[in-house]
Amino acid sequence: MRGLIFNIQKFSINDGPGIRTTVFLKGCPLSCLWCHNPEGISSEKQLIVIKNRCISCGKCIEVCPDNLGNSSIFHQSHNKCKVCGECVKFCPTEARQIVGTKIEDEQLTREILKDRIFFDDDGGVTFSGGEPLKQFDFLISVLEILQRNCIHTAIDTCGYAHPDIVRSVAKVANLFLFDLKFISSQKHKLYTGIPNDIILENLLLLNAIHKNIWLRIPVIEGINTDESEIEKIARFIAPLNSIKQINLLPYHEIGISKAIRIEDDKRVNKYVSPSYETLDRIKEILKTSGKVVNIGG
Amino acid sequence: MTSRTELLRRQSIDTHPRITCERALLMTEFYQKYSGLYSPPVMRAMAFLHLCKNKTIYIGDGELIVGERGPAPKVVPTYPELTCHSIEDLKILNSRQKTSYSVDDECIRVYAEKIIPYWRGRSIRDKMFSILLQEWKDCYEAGIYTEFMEQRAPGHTVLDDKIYNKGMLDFKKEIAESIAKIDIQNDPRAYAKIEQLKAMDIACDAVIIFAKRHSELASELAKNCNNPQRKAELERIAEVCSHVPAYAPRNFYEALQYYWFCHLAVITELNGWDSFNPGHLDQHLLSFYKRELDSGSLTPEFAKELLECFFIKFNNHPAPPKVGVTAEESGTYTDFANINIGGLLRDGSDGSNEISHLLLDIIDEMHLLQPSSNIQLSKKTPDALLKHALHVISKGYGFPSLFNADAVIQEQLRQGKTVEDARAGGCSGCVETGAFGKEAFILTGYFNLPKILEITLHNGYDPRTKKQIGLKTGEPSEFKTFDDLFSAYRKQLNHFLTIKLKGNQIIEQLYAREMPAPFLSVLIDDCIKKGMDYNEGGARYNNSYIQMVGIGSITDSFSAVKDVVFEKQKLSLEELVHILDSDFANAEQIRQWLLNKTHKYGNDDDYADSIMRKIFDVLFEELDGKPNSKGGCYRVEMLPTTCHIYFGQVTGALPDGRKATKPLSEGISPVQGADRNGPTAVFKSAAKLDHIKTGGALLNMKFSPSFLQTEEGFDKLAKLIRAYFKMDGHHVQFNIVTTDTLRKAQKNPQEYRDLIVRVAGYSDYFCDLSASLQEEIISRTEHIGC
Repeated sequence: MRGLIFNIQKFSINDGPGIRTTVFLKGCPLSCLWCHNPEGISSEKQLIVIKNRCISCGKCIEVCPDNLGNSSIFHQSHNKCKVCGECVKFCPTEARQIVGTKIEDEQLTREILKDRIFFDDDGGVTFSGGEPLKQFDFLISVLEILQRNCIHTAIDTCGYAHPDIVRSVAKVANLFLFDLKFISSQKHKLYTGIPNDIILENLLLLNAIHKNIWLRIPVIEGINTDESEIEKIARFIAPLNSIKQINLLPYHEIGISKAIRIEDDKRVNKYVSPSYETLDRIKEILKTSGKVVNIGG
Repeated sequence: MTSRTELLRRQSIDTHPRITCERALLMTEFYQKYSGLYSPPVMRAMAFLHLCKNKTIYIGDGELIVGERGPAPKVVPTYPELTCHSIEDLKILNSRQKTSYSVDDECIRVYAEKIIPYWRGRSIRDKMFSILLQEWKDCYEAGIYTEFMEQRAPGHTVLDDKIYNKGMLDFKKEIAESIAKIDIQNDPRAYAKIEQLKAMDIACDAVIIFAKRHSELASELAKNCNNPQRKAELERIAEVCSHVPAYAPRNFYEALQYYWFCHLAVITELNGWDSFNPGHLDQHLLSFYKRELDSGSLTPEFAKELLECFFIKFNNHPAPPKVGVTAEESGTYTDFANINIGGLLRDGSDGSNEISHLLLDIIDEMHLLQPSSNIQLSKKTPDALLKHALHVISKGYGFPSLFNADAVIQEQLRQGKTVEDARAGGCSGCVETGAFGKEAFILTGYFNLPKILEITLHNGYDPRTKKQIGLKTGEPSEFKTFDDLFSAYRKQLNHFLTIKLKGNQIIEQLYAREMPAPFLSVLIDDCIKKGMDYNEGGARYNNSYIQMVGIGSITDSFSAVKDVVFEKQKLSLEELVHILDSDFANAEQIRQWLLNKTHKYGNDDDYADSIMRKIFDVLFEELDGKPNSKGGCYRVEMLPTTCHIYFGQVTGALPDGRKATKPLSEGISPVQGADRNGPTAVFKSAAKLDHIKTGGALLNMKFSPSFLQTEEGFDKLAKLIRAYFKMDGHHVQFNIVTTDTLRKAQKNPQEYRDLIVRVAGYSDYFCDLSASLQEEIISRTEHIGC
């Protein structure tokens, strides 16, 4: 079975316990405006251009089968690019790349197992994205192979999926890193494009059928930092016993440079990283839920 | 630190190294008078005795551990019997921008009038260059290899625990017994043995006299001292120095002072490479420490202060002055004494103890360049010691470095040592494995692997020196397959190794005959038993190393050629060589392709890594087990010191996209910036080399300080290291510093005088490094962890 991934990040140290390999699956039902992996939103392969690597050699223009280039740097949205990859193949500096690789489950597992010696007793692999549950068949197939190899697995999810999918994945994954942005469905829709009733239901479901959930809250100054929103989160999660810890993930700008590369105009605007004071304040409120709260992954 | 050690530390750091001609004068005066009267070993011992009796001795204000090689701290003697510096050499030493040594006019006058007229033509270096064949010199000038014994004597040995329960008088007894056992009638070496042993006996006396002189000076100073506290200290020094080294040490203080006299004696007798080293200091001192703490005769505070004084002594002793190629391959004041912490005991149990932690505290507080330090990390070593070490490393000094004690033992077992001797061994210098107290593990020179590809691609011709120094293995157009090219490379490699080894044989025999080291021989088993000098093969084990440089660069070069020329056929080998000859003029697009679109070592990519493995296997097959002149064997070492800069300067453009004269990769680290898959991939690639078949393999890693801001970061780094060592990795060392800091230091060296970084097996002040070495360190990949 094949899936579409856009990165395999070895030595990930902020995506669950221990030393981990994080696999990023491409395609996400949400489209958060602050997304730090904007290249993971689309379920299609995409062409990216890293402009500062370009030496203006003109090779991309020369080889484009559709003759789309008219300057040394050209990009898909300017033209009718089919993402054939011809220019990528010939670009000597890797200024041009394709985001998104089709990969067999067996092949992905082999790549993951390369680092098993580093996983030790607490590390393993984390599936992130994009939204890993969106490619659930592929995900479950890989998870099953990893389970046979005694590798600890974590699913970093936005929680938006059919409950049956959540049930099946919960059987084969060791840990859920469950993202929660808002309790307010209205705000959720405004910033992520989707209301959050399904997400909250899935969190309740998961709490009932799985033992190990870490709640991850991206913190964006002025967006979800008001006390009433945080208090709502604290109240909602307080009775959920499977939530073992809460991680506050302060917003950072890394997504912007990647948005520029894929010409995603919606995500080139900068949000504000929360101050230490804000994070401490939020941490204190969330602690009223009785959970351990950490700042950072 | 106490106020005493803070002051002594400051003085040691602030004093600029200076040359003294006292030793040269004493040596010359002695040789002029007695040359020809004694056999070479006895002559060396008598000359050493003359030095011990007559050199200026020094006891500084506030010092508790005493003794200097020169007349004062940071004053460095010369060894004209080995290298007779010319007036020009002395002027260069005085004026060069980096690692300079002040030389005064008086010294230059003495050299012109007395030293040079006697030693020119008589020094080992002069004799060596007159004996060595032209082919050896051509390759040396081309930068195929360097020669370690050209300005410094064979050294590279470390002391074990023997001095802590034996005095020099005990050694003299052993020597007498060994003489008594010689079967003069039937032993063809009887005379040689008697002379060697006589020399060792004289050397023991010399060191006792040397210590006595310190005892007398301390008594003298005590008499005239009005400060009662200092007076008592001086009286204690006098007492200590009258007891050791003649007798075995009775306490912690005497143990340290005893070692220090041995250290001084070894580095005064000859200027052997990698200054001597106490080895497993924590293990050696434990019984004294515990006993005295229990009896109340020592406090932990005083023990710490004594150790601090002991550390400062090392820092007072910069390397003997190096010139020419030797200065290029080892451009540093550091003299590579490398204290081993942790490791295993002879019985195989964990050797770390409370002194291990005490040493780490001292290293952290003092962060002196010397002595260097390392952790011998076994699977039995507690995490607490590793964590403590990582906290020191996180400060950014680059020390202590980390060694895999279990691999170090396996390496030695493969070389045929007993398991106990292997456990009592460890690492010295940069990363060299050896059996402490029982082995001469000599580094003989660096070897330029990428240069040999350049020569192969030019049918044996060196484009820089314009000489046919290699074999005619074919023009580029004649290589039809990758294997054709690789087998030509192998032939060239064998050719150059043979030339190097032939040179080594001559040089080693020259040292054995003319420059015995009788005092060092007293300290290293089984010289006394065999009646044979250290330089002749008296040690129980005798491994000689050649240090291979540029495995990353040569791997990536072969990988690029294989891919671009032989598989994808984007261009012919002839065309590629033409482009390399032009140093990529008008071929930036191809250079970028080579840099970015070919397989690189350091990414856990089997395409490149299998080529690395293939090259290493060839090196191993061509070198390992070849006999040296001391009854031992040659072994492969993967270590650059600063030679990757020098070798880079003499090597043309390479197929991996590196331009001419730029640095090569260092140790077994990937080419600077070629590793793009994070630290685990680097470790995986590096571990594909069979470390157990080496005598040491150096891996550098650079981490961003942001990674080590939480305890969790330390946990994860500890796991990384443990995993690398599970894969039999020999060594790793870390720079924890940002590029930004290094750039700032380049701009404002005055403000960053204290910035210490890891170079290659040693740490150095960043601002003391050559500009090209500074750039090379900046260009290494900085890992952050995501």
